[in-house]
Amino acid sequence: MLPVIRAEDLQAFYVLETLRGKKVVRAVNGVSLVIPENTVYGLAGESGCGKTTLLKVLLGNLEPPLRHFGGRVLYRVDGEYLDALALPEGKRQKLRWTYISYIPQGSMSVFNPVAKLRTTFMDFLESHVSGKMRQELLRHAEEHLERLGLSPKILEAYPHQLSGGMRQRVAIALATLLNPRVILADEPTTALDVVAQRAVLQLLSDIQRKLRNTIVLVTHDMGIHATVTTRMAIMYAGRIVEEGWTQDIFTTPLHPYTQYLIRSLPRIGDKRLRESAPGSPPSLAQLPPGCPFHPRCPLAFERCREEVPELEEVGEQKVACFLRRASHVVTS
Amino acid sequence: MEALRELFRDYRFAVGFVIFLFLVVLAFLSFASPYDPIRQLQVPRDRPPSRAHILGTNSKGQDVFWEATFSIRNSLIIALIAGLVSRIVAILVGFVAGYRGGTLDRVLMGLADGLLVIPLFLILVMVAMLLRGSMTLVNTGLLLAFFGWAWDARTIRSQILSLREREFTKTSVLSGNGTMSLVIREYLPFTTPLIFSTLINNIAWAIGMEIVLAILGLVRLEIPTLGTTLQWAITYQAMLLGHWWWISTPVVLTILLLVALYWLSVSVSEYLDPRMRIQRVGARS
Amino acid sequence: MSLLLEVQNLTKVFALGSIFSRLRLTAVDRVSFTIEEGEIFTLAGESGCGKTTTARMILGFEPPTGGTIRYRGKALGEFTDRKSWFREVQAVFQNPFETFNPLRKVESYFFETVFNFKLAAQKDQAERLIEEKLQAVGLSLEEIEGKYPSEFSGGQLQRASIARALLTNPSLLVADEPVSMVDASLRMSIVNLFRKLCDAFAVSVLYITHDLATAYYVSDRIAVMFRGNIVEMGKVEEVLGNPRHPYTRLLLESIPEPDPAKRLEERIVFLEEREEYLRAGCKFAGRCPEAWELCGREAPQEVEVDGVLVRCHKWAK
Repeated sequence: MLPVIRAEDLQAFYVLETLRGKKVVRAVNGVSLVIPENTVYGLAGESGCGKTTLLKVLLGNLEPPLRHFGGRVLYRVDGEYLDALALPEGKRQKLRWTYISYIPQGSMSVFNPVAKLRTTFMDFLESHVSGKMRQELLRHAEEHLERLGLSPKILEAYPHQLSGGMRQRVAIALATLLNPRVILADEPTTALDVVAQRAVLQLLSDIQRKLRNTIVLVTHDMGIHATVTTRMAIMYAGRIVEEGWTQDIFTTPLHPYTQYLIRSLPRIGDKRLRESAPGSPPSLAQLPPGCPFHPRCPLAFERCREEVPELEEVGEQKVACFLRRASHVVTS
Repeated sequence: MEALRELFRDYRFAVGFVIFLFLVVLAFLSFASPYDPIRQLQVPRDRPPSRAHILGTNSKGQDVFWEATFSIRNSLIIALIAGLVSRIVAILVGFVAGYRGGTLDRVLMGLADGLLVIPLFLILVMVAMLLRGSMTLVNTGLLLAFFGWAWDARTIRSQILSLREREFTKTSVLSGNGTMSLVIREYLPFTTPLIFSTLINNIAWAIGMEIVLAILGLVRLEIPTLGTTLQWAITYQAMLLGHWWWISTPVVLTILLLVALYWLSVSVSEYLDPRMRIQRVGARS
Repeated sequence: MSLLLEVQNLTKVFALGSIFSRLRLTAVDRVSFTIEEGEIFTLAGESGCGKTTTARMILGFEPPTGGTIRYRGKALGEFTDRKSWFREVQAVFQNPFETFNPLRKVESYFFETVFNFKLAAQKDQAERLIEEKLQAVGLSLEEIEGKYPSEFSGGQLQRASIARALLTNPSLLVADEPVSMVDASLRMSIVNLFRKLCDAFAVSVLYITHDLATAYYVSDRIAVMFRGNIVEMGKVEEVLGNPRHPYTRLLLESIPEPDPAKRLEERIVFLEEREEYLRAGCKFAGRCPEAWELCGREAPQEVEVDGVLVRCHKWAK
């Protein structure tokens, strides 16, 4: 499978001027990823691990105080690899929404609260598609909505008139209007309850199946990854600590953090005690030396405190841990 | 205090503070004045600035410099009374109306709206005309305060309305706080920048209004204030007669005062803005 | 085990639109349930089902339109003032970052609670009490002293919120989505904390959530709510292990299980909230895969089936 985006040893930090001097937040601290085409690719990690920043970098959205400190992002456009961060802004703008699109966390921020959805859709189409009549564009929007199982009547509504789940699905429809090859979805179901969540996930799966594109689904909810993604990566403190087929990661998690994530999830039918990982994730401005997980890891030893482990292949999986195949830290 | 040190980094605050301090010192100097502020013909008239009289003398036979110290002091007193009293009323009305809602809210806002709709200038002039004899410093201040609270009461109230919906209000109620202590402990920190910047703005407005009233002759003209000294200078045609020292003194002092107040207001309210404060607190960790 | 809280026919009706419109939305419709001492009771359902409104009524933040709430036999209206109610019942909310005023130090709420409820007379007594409760949740006074909310993580703030709620030694803790905004890896430690508080200190918990997995894990009994009605209620192993009401089944199927072998299969129908609330008959009829003609006309009554209460025509004999 050919990759549709490659990240090579990406580094992007926030440089903040505070009263105490400079503060450097290493949100993306050496990330290498190969995201294949025609997949739902999951990126798991908790708040503060850098995943939203990683999405921004993949989009090429580097605005101060976020600065690029190293590495490349490559897009495969029309058979060629383009360095996304080196592209002139004009070219990058063109690629946005037609090659790569983004669904931010919280659907309300995508829509103009005082405009009907029709206006938002039309503005969007008119600014990205030239040479078509308004009527044609409107029809295109309506057909797209129908194809996704949404009623075209919602175009007449204002954003606040729709429920959270509905709004999120409309945001997804907007992001996929121009049939992009890559869709970056940042926590698309966080504020939604289980039923609305299921509708959103269903929609994403349908889109991926019909358009055969790649969806990069970022969420901390491991249950979602198990249900919809085929391949995934686990992010911790700005680095990728494990990567592989979703199936493999759930049956044989190699990294101690992954094991905690999976084993601590409650399941219906099982009331046995479940434990969270002790402590809490480190601040990205004050990372511990060596492996970022070592302060919380029950299997940490000397080397973990001194050196940073790189992602290495273990069979079909990749893991960044000196133990390479950690014994089960959490019995369950 | 750490807060002051941080504020001083802003040039606007630093310069404004220095100017204001200078003016306050001038105001205090009035206590050392060798001349009576009200009596006329104490010194030779219309003398230009000299060693004996730094800013010269005016046509009423008073030393311009020492008159100026009194005028600054009195104007500041009026403005401070106006500003402080109107703040207190605005806070009480805004907090109670915002938090309690219901009929109380409607009544209070009705009052406020009434005051806002009235053509301020006309009423002020009318009232001042009626009370001309008793327009002492304090009364002038109170009159200005009466017209100064309505707008800010409304602004404070709308802030309270949104703060009321935030979750920490519930936590405070669950912690056993009654209305008054809740509103003061939880909401005051949010409304402080608003109150402070409007205080300073109000003071500036009061200074200006006092001058207007004085020019119209609606205050006790023998009491020296920035407005009355200006008024006398105009009446005696100081400009035409070339007595520049007399007319420029109140003008320059007023300009300095208003600019200083403006800079203080802008820099302090930026500093106190809750969003900036939260950012600063976050940066500390 | 004695009865702690008894809710009977609790109802809340909201008027929609302007004063002239006659549209009424019954957010909570004759809801009845009980909570025993030393029990964790879950109120579960989607957003917009009325669970949060029910909690607000129990806490006294919203006046009920009908029905009664009794605490140890005494009606809510008989409590002389809010403070005496809050001695017995406390709450923890969803968003840990909004629970405390961002411009105030977290510890100030603790001291306020202690002095307002007269739990201690002097500062050192207060500090001892506060330290005791903080230790119970895995924190300490030293850790939180002098700090503002932004200096803590979501998990720590939520623990602090629980500690503050424990100060008056309440018998009932209302927890409204307490872990939905907490990171997945820290969630279980907080949920385990509720269990510990219940088992060790006999604090009953009214756990409100849409996450059935944690509900199963931590609670004793559960009531599933849909658009204002309780549709199924009973022991959690029974209700979630052997769901009878079609809605309970839908909820269970919608949970993304962390098991790649179980992928999304069946499609679901998704209707807008308001339409469903204003429906005549059974409110779930629009989406129910097993609905028949009667369901659209008549609202079903509650029946008991094997110790579980179900509100569905299918189960009514």
